[in-house]
Amino acid sequence: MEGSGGGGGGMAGGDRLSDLPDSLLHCILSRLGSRQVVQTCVLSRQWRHLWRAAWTIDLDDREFLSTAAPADDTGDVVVALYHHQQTQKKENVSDRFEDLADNLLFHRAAAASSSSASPPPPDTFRLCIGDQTTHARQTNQARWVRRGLLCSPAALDFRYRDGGSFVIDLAAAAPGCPRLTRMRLDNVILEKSFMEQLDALFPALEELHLNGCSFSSVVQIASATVQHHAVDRCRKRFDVQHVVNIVAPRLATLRLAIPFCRSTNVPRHCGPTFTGYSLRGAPPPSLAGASVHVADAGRYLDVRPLHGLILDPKFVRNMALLDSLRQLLLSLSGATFLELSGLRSVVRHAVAPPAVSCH
Amino acid sequence: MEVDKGKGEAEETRKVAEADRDTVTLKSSDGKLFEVSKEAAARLSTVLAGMIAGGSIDDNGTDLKQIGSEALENVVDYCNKHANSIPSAALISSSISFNTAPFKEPEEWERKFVDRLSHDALFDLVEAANFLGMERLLDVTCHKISEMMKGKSPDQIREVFNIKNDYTKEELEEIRQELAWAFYDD
Repeated sequence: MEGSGGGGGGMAGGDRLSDLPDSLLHCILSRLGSRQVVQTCVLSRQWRHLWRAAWTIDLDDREFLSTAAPADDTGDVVVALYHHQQTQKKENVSDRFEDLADNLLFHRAAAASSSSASPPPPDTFRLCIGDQTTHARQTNQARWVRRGLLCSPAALDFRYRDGGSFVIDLAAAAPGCPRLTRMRLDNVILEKSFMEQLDALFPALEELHLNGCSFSSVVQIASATVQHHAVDRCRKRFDVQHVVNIVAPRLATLRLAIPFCRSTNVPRHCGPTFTGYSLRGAPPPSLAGASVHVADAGRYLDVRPLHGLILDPKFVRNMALLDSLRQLLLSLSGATFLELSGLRSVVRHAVAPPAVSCH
Repeated sequence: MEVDKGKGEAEETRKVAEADRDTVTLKSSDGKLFEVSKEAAARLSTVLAGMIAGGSIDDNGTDLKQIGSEALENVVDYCNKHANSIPSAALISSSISFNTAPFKEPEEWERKFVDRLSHDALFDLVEAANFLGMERLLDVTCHKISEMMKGKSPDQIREVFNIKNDYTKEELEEIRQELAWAFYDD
């Protein structure tokens, strides 16, 4: 714009996109949903096989919902018929999604297991499903997770979208994935059998992010290799007063968001009680930063009159939370950066100057 | 950083006066000169970092024959903007975050930075970033291009990017049948 005397090539019809090297095309495609990535094969001959080596396998049923926009139904359609069509549409969406997931994963897993000149394994396998797709049987999802992991990705990102938890027997589903370094699970029920096998299944795991998950009977998250760990709004599935132990000798950063209930009328994700955490074993020497957020605690302390608290059994539990929190903070005191929030005020310690030497 | 630590403004002017030490001069294919923060250049570009470390930086302008002046101006602009947005203490805490994606989402200013570019300028910048080994700038520009593709049909993508369809009708039909599972149309 400013003094555009020279300027690059003519806009006269160059195909700048196809001129880019494959590595950049993959970089671009890695941000698109898998259906669209596969569809690029018809753009031109150059694009025909690019999808087979895509960096990301991204299966998200919303990619189908957006195209299944309601047709121009006119007003005279009988309501019942309309609903019938909507239901069918939903079924179509989930059928087509299944078809895509099965076929794409089949192609990629087959390529991964054949030794001859197969495309490199994907970096990320992402599976994101919501209610529309869940009625399509849980075995599907287990199969997709299994096949996705067979493709040997470096990251697994499995999200069940719509609030409630999603039961999947990951221990049975996961064939183990030695290349996997990053894992994020959303709204998944974590079975004991799975959690006990973390090290065996994922011996290279470095980042573990559990988001809105629930622990069934498990009470331990143990990984010899995890360096970055986040446990965000997870809860116990049953009203058990145990603390979840975190055993992670290589831990470098830890982020905990702990839901804390202040009345009986709480949103479901808060669960009936708190879930406390404790860091087991010797303090990890590599621990650099930790952030602990207690959701709602401030309001509890503010709102309730003091005398009412003593007799409230929830308060007793919450005192237990505060106690477990205290223990936790003590075990984290070696961290260079420690942040506690959600209590009435945010306490911040920036202990050792080097990391936070901005001023 | 050692003497007059008192005023931030004085610090600034002193920095400008010491420009020789803190910046690197780059020369575009058409001979224009640009100055860029040495620290940012080294941090953002593996190629420039290598040149700085290896002493192959020319005080009169390091030749970058592959990059036109408009693209180089954008590169330099990007580096200098980046130099001014060094993570603060507040960001350190939010950096305890997790990313299962292989890339990071662009920040607001980075989005705006690429949004104002013309089609050709965007692609010139991608190529320059690729040449200079600027991973972060590649992420930002590739993100922009992916947004131009997102949600579009193959026909629409061909139109936006001027891609010539060199398939025969029969070939296209064959592919669509082979990969029917990705081509259901509603």
